[in-house]
Parts: sequence; structure tokens; C-alpha cells
Amino acid sequence: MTKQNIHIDRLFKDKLSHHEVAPSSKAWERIQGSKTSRGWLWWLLPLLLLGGFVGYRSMVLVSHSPMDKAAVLAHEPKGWGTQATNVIAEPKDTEVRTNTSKVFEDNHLNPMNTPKEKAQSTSEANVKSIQSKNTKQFAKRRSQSKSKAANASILADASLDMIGSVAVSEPISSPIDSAVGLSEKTNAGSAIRFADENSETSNAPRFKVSVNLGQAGSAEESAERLPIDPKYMKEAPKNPFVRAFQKVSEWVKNWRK
Amino acid sequence: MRFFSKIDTEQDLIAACQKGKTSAQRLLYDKHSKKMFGICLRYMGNAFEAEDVLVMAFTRIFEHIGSYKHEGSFEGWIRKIVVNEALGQLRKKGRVHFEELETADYNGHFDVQTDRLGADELMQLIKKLPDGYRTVFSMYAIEGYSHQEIADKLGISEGTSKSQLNRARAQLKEAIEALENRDQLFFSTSTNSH
Repeated sequence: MTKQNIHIDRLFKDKLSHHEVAPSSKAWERIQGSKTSRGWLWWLLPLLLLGGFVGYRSMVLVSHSPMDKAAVLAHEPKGWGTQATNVIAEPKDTEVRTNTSKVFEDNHLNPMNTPKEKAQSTSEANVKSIQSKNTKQFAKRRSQSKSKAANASILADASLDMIGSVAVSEPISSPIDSAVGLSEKTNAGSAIRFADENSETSNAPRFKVSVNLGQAGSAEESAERLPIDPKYMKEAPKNPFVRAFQKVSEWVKNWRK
Repeated sequence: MRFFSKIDTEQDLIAACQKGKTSAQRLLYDKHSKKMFGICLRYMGNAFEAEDVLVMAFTRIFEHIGSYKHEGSFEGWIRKIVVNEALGQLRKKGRVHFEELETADYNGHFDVQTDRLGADELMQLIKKLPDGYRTVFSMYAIEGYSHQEIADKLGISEGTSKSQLNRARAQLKEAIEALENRDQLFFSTSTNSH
């Protein structure tokens, strides 16, 4: 028998490059199993995202202070459907002036001198512009659905010169309420009052702001409504997917209630 | 109306796998699994780890078969994934340790005289090599990687790759010569007894 002289690399390549060894029958089952388990992950991921979003929203809504509630009610955006904001001024407060502005005027000072005052003024301007916008928006919707909402609140445009703190107070009955058909019952729980910081002790003129939630809801429903997170107090998003997602989250929130 | 798509060629098989058909995937597995398991066994050295690598490699193949662009042989594409998976597992388990060796000592000739060693016996010889020797020898001598490619894939220098290869060759040559001498002794003894 003659032996071949062969390079060791060639020997192994010839014999082993196409060498076949059968794996166990469990190998295929494991491959199938790993495919199935990964398939579940694709379903799990969006569920986790949705759950996290709903949980986050719940936390944010619960953790608002009264100050935030008032701000949220005043900043309600258009297109959110179930809530509407109205601003009503007392007749006697047609010329509203605050302590601060009066002091500045008396002393011939520019109230916009300090950064703090500037920021405050900017904030007030924002509040006024949004209130005005919401009021117009509500008026538009109100006129469209006037026949359906018999108990709806009226609209009164108010040019408010607000300064100082915002506090939630008990409903205050006023002549205008009865004049416009806004009963205390429908107004209950949804009235807020804007006043100067020292309004209880000073002679500064005061005014009342009533925020009426809903067009035809009961007082209990109005009282139970939670404010909307200020970060969502923007224009309705143009992206249809985002809008759909917001609708779903709203539906989930209502369903949980 | 055609209810069942017929798989006649490898192209049909690949197309069906790209659509995610389990039956086609099974056909592909049956066609290539034995050869790929041989490769896994050669790199990992034992059947348990080799099967782990095979499972992970085929899972990866089915996931990424959509990216196969029909350039080069399909078996070569699969083989590359299997080898990369085996190398990844060796790295992950920290089993590949490379020590710098002097290449000058192993620049000899590595020709062997044999005519009866089969694939199974050669596989047993390879399994006995240290992990580093076995990996470099498999990549260079059997898969056809260059020293530069081996160095890049394993994160070592070309010199280390060469030294590991020569050390593996020397060890295998000794083992083959020992087997041949044993067989020669066995045959000569049996001839004398007759």
C-alpha cells in the first residue's frame, strides 16, 4: 500500500470542508421556539408603551395643585371637545385696575422695569390671549349647537387685567349669573376667582372669573372633571397618528373612570 | 388556481423563506444543517455548544434572509453566518486565548504521509487542539481566511495568527504520525502473526 505525501492543510480541507454531522432533533424545535418567543416581543413592546403612557398621564393628572387646575382651566385648548371655558366679569368691574398698576401709575414708574414684572406681564398676556382665543372658539361652537344645549352658559367677553394669585373659591352668585341664565347649580364647583394678592385687605378693585365646564353637563360631572396637563395645552397636533393616539388615551382614561 | 407554491430550485426555496414560510425554512434547515453542524463542531469542540451555535445561527439566517442579495453562493452566505456566530460565542465565553509565539520555530514543512485517516478521525484530532489553535487552523486551512482577515475577526495581530497556525499544524502532524505509526505497528504485527 503506497502512502500519499500531502500537506496537512490540504488533508484537512479535503476531508472536513464538506464533512456532515447530524444535529439532534431538538435543534429544529429550539429554532422554532426562539422564533416564537421573539414574535411575542413585537406585541409586548407597544403594549408596554401604551401602559406607560396611560400610567404617566394618570400620575400627572393626579399630582396637579389648585394653582395648576386654575391655569389649566384657563388654558383649555380648542378641539378637546368635552370642556369649554367662559370668562364672565362683573358689571361693576368694567374698569379693572389693580393695586400694583395704580402704584406704578401714581409714581410715574414703568411697570415693565424689572425682569420679574416683565415675566409676570408676559404671562398675563399669554393668559389673556388664550382666554380670548378660547372664548371665541367656544362662541363659534356654541352658536353651532345652540339648539342642542338648552342649559348652556352664555358668553361674555371680558378684558381682564389680571395680576396676583389665582385661587379656587366657592361659587359666587352675581347679578350677571341670573341675567344670563347661569344658575349657581350649573356653576357649582367650577368657579374660580382671580384677585389681587392683598385683595382681602386692600381697596383694590376686584373681579370675578367664572369658568363654566361643559355645555350641558351636570354640576357633579363638572366637579369631577380633572384638569388637563398644561404641557398638552397646545394646538391639536396635525399628525393624524398623534391625534388618534390622544383619542385612544382619552378613551382609556374615561373607561378607567 | 395554484394553492401550493412549488419549490424546485434554490431560488424558490430562498424566496419562500424570505416570505417567512415555515415549511420552506424546514427544507432549508434539512438541506444545510448537517454541514453547518460539522462546522460548529469543528469550532466549538463539543456537541452541546455546537448545537447552541447552530440554533442561534439558523435563527439569525431566517431573520436576515431578506437581506441576501443573491451575490455569491447561498451556502457560502450561510457558512459565513455560522462561522461568525461560532467566533462570537467563543469570544463571549472567553475561551480563545492567544499567546504570542515565535513563528521562526515552526516554519518547517507540514507534509504528512497518510492514506487511511477519515473525516471522523481528523475531526477527533482537531477537537483535541487548544481553542486558539483550533480556531485559527479552521479559519485558515479549511475556511480559507487570510491571516489579515483572521487578525481582524479575532482582534489579534497577523503574527499571532501565523504562530497559532504553525503550532496547530505541528501538533496535528505529530498526532497524525503517531496514528500512522500505531496503525503500521498494528498491521505489521498482524502480518507477522499470520
